Amino acid sequence: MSKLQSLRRAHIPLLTLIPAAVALADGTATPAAGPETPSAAYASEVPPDEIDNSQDEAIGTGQQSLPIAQAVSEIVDQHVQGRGGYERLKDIASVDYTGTRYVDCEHYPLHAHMARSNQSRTWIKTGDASTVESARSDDDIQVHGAPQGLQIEQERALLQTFDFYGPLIDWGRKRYDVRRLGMEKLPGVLAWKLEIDRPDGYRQILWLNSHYGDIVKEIIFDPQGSPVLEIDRHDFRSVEGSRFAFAIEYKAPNGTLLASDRIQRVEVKRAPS
Amino acid sequence: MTTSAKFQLLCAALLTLGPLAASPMERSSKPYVVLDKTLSQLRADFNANVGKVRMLYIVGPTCGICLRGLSDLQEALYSKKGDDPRLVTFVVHVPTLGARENSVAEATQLISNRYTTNYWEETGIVGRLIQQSMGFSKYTWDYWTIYDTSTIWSDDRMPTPAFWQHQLSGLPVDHKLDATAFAAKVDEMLAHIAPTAAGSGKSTDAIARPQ
Repeated sequence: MSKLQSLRRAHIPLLTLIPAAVALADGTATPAAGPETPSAAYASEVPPDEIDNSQDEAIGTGQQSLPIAQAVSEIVDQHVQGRGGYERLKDIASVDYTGTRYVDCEHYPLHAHMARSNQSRTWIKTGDASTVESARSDDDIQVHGAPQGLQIEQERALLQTFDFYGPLIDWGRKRYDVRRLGMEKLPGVLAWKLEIDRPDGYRQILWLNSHYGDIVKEIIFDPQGSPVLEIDRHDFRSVEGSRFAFAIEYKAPNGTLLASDRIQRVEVKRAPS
Repeated sequence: MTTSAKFQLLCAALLTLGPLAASPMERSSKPYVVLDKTLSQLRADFNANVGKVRMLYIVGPTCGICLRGLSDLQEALYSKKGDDPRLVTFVVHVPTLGARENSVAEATQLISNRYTTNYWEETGIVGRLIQQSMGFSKYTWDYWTIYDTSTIWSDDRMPTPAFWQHQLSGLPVDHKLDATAFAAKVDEMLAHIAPTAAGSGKSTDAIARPQ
């Protein structure tokens, strides 16, 4: 192809613009109002209290996210209320989960004990005499045995980012940076999408059910910025006034299902903090 | 001047005109209609669809609760009804919570329905008119209505809907948006209109407004 031919080919689409350009130039067409063009009429009938917002502009990221004006605090409030309210939630001293972990065609009895301040211990019985145990105390993480379905680094990321009351409770006090990323359509629900930067370098993206505030999906990123694990939560039920997921799926960053937990029983113990 | 030089000159001229030409092109591709303060286009579209069950929603395009409402109705109503030409929807986006026109296009994606038209109303006067016609104590948006098949919008006053719900504080709680109840009400009203062959979604006529 000669240089002239390629130049012609490159500009053929421009020819289609001629009628529109001419119409605009001779005044037979009016230019469209640009999306950012302010005008005197803008919002003139909307009362100030329906315009003002705690954040300057709506934020949306990614092609799938819809920009929203709701402040982070509003979304977190809904999440807290869905879990029974702040005071009631902070009364919870420990939670015991009993269920089953499914990995491919295998399944294993699972028990997890979680307690404040930030302790988590999970046992997965893999045979008559063998048990996988992973634990997080206030200052230590230990994994004994190969966690069923998950890689060691994924189990570690899970423990590292574990928050007994959840990542959004007292996030300011924990020095987390929480940002809203808009809303995103998940199967059956439009979800709030938040991003959390943690002081330990890990990052989480959360999707919250916009009706109940449940964290229905989460992706954990390691301090290098690589996605490590996706956690999908379903089948939320109320136990002692707080909502808990009774079905949890763990997925690799490429979407491959690694393991599923089905919880049969959740036992909540309360003690005033 | 050689042919090649003339062609290059033409291309340069077209490149200069490009930005000017982009605006009308852009406008024609918008998935919504821009209303003026008289709401004349909305009124014309509303009256052009007498005989059908008409829904009118007033939403803020960056209001998450409104977006959730649209999404819920997509699940409860539109995904089940398909493109039923007896059912026509007008979604009016208003500049609440600081919303601007540039957020409207994304919000229009939440309802997938051929007989739904989205509008951007820059002054927000539609909320004031609804407040007046309904006698509400506050500016009205995040508001979801169904109109009778026979209702005509005959003057400056907004017509009264047969059924309405909302997601505002300060309005009756028994009218809070419930997508399932809303869809049931639509079903009830649709039962009074003879089904058409187009109900299967195969028809090409009876669009909500001339596109």
